[in-house]
Amino acid sequence: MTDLSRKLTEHVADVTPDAAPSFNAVLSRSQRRRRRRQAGWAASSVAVVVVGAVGFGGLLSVSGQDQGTTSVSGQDQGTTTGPGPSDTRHSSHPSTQSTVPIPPDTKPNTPPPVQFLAGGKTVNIAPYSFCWFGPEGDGVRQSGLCADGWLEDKDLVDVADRKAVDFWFAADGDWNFQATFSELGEKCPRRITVPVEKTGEGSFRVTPAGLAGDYRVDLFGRGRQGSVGAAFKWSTLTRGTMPQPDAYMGLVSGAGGDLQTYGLELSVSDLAATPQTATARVTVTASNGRSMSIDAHRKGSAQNCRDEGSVFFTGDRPQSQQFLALGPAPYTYDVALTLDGSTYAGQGVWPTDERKSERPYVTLTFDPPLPAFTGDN
Amino acid sequence: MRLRHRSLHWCPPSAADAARMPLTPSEPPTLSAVTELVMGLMEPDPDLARVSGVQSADEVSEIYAHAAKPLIGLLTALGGNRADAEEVAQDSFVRLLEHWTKVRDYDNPEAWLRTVAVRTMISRHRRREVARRALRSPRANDPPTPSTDSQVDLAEALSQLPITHRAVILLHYVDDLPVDEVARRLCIPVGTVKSRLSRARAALAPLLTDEETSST
Repeated sequence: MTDLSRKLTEHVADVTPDAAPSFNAVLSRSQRRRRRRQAGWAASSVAVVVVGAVGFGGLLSVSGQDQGTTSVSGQDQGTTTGPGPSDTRHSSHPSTQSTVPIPPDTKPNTPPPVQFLAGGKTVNIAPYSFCWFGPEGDGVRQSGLCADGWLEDKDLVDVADRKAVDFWFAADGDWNFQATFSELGEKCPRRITVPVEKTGEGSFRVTPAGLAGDYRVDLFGRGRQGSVGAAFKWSTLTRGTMPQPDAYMGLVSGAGGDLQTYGLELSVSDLAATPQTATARVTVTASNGRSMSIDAHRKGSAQNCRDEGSVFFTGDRPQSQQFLALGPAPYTYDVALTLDGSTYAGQGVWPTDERKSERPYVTLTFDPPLPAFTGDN
Repeated sequence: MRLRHRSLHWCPPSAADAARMPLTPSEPPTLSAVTELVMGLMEPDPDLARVSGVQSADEVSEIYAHAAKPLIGLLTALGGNRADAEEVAQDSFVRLLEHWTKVRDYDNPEAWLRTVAVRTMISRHRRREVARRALRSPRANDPPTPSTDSQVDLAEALSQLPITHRAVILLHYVDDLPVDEVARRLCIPVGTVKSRLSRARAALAPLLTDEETSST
């Protein structure tokens, strides 16, 4: 049996050392770090590496510490009274504008903040995570900065109870955002991801998702200059976009011109609730009519927190391998999914129903439809 | 004495990640806590003084004894460099030591450790990549041409992938994490994980032997 998992695992084993450095090295490193802190060496500047615009003259700036602290989190958000669209609090029809000025205090080589209006003032939320590249062109090769961070719930900027959140992002080019809603205070919250409406050049609108409630909303944006993540708290007033159940299965792939399998994966999400019990039996039928069935195994229900309303299954890789011997494609995937005693029949065909950017995952359609989250169930 | 959990949060949000298997320490939000980790700028855990440092070190050393080698292996595969892997692994253990009073109560402290380590490696690699790109000519910025040699070495093939793709495929196939768990740990949307997996699989497909492929 060979598959990608085994090869990768073997590769990791191959590069795993026979012995690790002594634990004393960790202790020494810890002590050095403590001493540096005590000495105030670190100060309070944020450690990022900024590579400035590089022209023909070479590197202009390198050290992030030279750049000083960059305001990033909700704690650090600034408020200005700069130009911006009208306050859209409680308004369903905010105005938009064609161009969004970059806030004057935006650091070079960093993304501009996400801006919105609150109480007549523009509130800036700087991205907590981003990869940002400057312009490319004659004489300027590339510049950029990447930073990974996070933002705790307690530090989220609260946009209060407006009907929609209109924000502005002063970046050139065609930027697109999506918003992920996670109900605050829940142990394993349902996460609802919705596209963000573009309302103008650099202006966007987030409308509610899920039931009315208190949410953490994570914005994830992509554009010519890179990607950004920013978050805020929003107490939605009304029920918004409700997620529809989504199911996909991965088994056979045609990458590389040959059929291959990476093992069976079956994911079902945005169900009405996380089922207490869930089983899945998968039958694969090749174009010649030969078929084979296996029971998939539910994963992660006990050890890991899964999003509310989701289940995930895998199949034994050796068994998955045998599907390839059935015969030629197309392959019909039939899934008998039993959730808390109710059985749903799902079907998808590979490669016909393969998701274009998510190969080899195939969308499954269920009959009867999978139970959707409505808030009433 | 077992200490009570604090409510922590890792992006993307899940209170359960905090309560059951939190993946982040409780520092105030900063531009890049992970980057700060590398640079040694994080403030120490204030609870640390409440538990004997010797005891913490003993307990963390037990984890180190069995987890350090595989972690270095994973990080070497991810970053392509043993020296970096050892350094990042040690930094991650320092972090674990500093936050042991909290992390020790988590369901899976090693998951916390591996997540911190992977993110640290990605962050470090990204910074280097940014610097490297800045020093290259525009022509050199062209993506490398994928090898068509089916016998190409896996390490070489992995090195052709962006580190974010490597992280996704290693966490999914080596750590055996479902797509949404990978997304949660790397703070990226599920769709991004799936598309990165798709591209990584396509890039590595020539490496698969005839045993696991059949002609279309």
